[in-house]
Amino acid sequence: MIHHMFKLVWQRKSRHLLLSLEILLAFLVVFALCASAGRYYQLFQLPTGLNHQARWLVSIEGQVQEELTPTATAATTVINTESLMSQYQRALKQIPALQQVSFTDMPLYDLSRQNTLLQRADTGQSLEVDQISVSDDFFAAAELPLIAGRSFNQTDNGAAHQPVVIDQRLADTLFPGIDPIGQLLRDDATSSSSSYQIIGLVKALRTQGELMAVAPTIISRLPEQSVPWILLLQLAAGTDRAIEQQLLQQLKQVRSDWSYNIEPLTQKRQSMLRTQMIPLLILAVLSAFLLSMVAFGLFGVLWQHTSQRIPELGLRRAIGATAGNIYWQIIAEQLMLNLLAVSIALLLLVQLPLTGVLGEHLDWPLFGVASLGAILIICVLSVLCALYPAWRASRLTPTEALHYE
Amino acid sequence: MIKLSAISKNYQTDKVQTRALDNINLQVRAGEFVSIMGPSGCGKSTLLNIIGLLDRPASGQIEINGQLLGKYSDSQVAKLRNQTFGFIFQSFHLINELRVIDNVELPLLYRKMPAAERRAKAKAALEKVGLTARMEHFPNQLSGGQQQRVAIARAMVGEPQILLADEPTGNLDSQMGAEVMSQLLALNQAGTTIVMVTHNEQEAKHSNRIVRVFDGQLVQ
Repeated sequence: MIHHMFKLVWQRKSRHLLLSLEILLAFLVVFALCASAGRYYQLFQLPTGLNHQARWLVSIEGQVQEELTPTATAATTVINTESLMSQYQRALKQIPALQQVSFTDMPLYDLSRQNTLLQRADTGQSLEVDQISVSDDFFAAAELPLIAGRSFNQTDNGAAHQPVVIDQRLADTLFPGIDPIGQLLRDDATSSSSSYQIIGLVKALRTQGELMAVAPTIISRLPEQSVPWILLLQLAAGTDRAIEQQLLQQLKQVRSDWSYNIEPLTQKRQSMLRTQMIPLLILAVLSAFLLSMVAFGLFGVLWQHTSQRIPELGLRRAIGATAGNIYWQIIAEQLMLNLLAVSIALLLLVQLPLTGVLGEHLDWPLFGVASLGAILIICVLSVLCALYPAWRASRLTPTEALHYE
Repeated sequence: MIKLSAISKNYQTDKVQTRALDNINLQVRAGEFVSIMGPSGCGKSTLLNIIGLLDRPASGQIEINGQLLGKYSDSQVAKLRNQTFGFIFQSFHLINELRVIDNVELPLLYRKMPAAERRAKAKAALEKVGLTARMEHFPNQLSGGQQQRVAIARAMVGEPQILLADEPTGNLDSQMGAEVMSQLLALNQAGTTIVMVTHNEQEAKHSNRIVRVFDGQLVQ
């Protein structure tokens, strides 16, 4: 029977052309939605290198332009910056609940990114990387674990090469199969030709949070004389937002002319997740709209096709088909038509992972899952649209069906 | 073989109720060739549809091979239609997207039968109607007479005991009609019971018995 139904669907392919095209286009959109959702899920499962629980982020605003010059030259332009960082540390540690105070030049769970072009010193191989500078305490404050080497400490003062910690992605790309610890890198983007020595390796540090694509990252040491801009604070577990008033008081003791934006990292994370979900939500709304249009179209076309076939269905009843046979035949044929359209769509889509044009954004497992998800959604939609026309056709008596016009 | 007792059938259209059959009693014995005749709209086709279980009567009883069909389920009735009856229609009712051989195979799809056996039976049925050379053609590549012979092959492929033909030559010219009639006669001589609706007195004369219907009632 399946062979027979396939033969019918195939022979009627020209009549089903528009319907197939509609299913194909709907499948492409649903696939895009499933692949995006799957990619988000994949990213969500990856380590960020950040613990957001019981962490507060303080952004300092109001520094004058001279104070915000790049950290490398900060020592020459800013007076007494070392004491500023120390003063903040001292002032904040007056609060009993405070466990760690650290500084960074990049806001966390924020869309900001800083890139540079790094070059492997020995081979000259270059790579664009994300860059962040952090104080020595940052690794403890963020609970960013090192998988090899060490983090920054006082012994790095005055080192011949600036010490840096890199992430696994950078290590795998620039130093495949060799130990990156001790290797030298050059900054290709600046004319200063700074050289870096890798002293540590972390699994990952994704400053934008869970939905940030993995990018090779270099973590450099924030000079002690830098102007503080972002503070990452670790407080005792269970500390509530009432602490923020106390934090503000202590911060104002150091520089009362600057303003401070204090926010729990958990809240920043939630806000960032919401922002990053917007494209997916837009795609979902568009897909839902398109699918509802497709559903109406499918229903109309199926109704028309089934009506045209009623004399044929009457003949089938006359020669031995039950009402159930007719009902399931219409649904099965619709599923077959779906599979034909979906097969063509998959032939096109499989070029994406084959050519690697989307890189790790669409790997084979994700392609498989997205394809299955999209097939399931399209099949369910299609079957739902076929239910009523199939039921109506199966209810007719053979005589009514044979003489239907 | 077939026994109809006090069969009545009404059609309801808007506010008008039409009595299509009124208290019909009819018996068809095994191996008989019965023609049903009467003017247009007298209820001939309705009677044939009720005999073939394509339609249910409003009242009365139907017996097939001594079995009273009272509360038969849809699947039981479908099985009877598949195994006991073969149908030939005036407008052939062939599926144009299927080849001749696939059209003939159609009734066997609703039986549990291996594909190879189905194909062999369909070929044998086409051979009987002299259309072996046309089995890979599509219906619209055949003449009307050939299409009706395909329909006869389809009706006979399941080796039914009873063949019901509703004006089988109605859409054919006289030569093609004669070809179809000779096929039916051959089948009857081979033992198949035939009930045929026709307007053609000449064709009806080939049958063992003529049953005349007028205004939904049998008139002898």
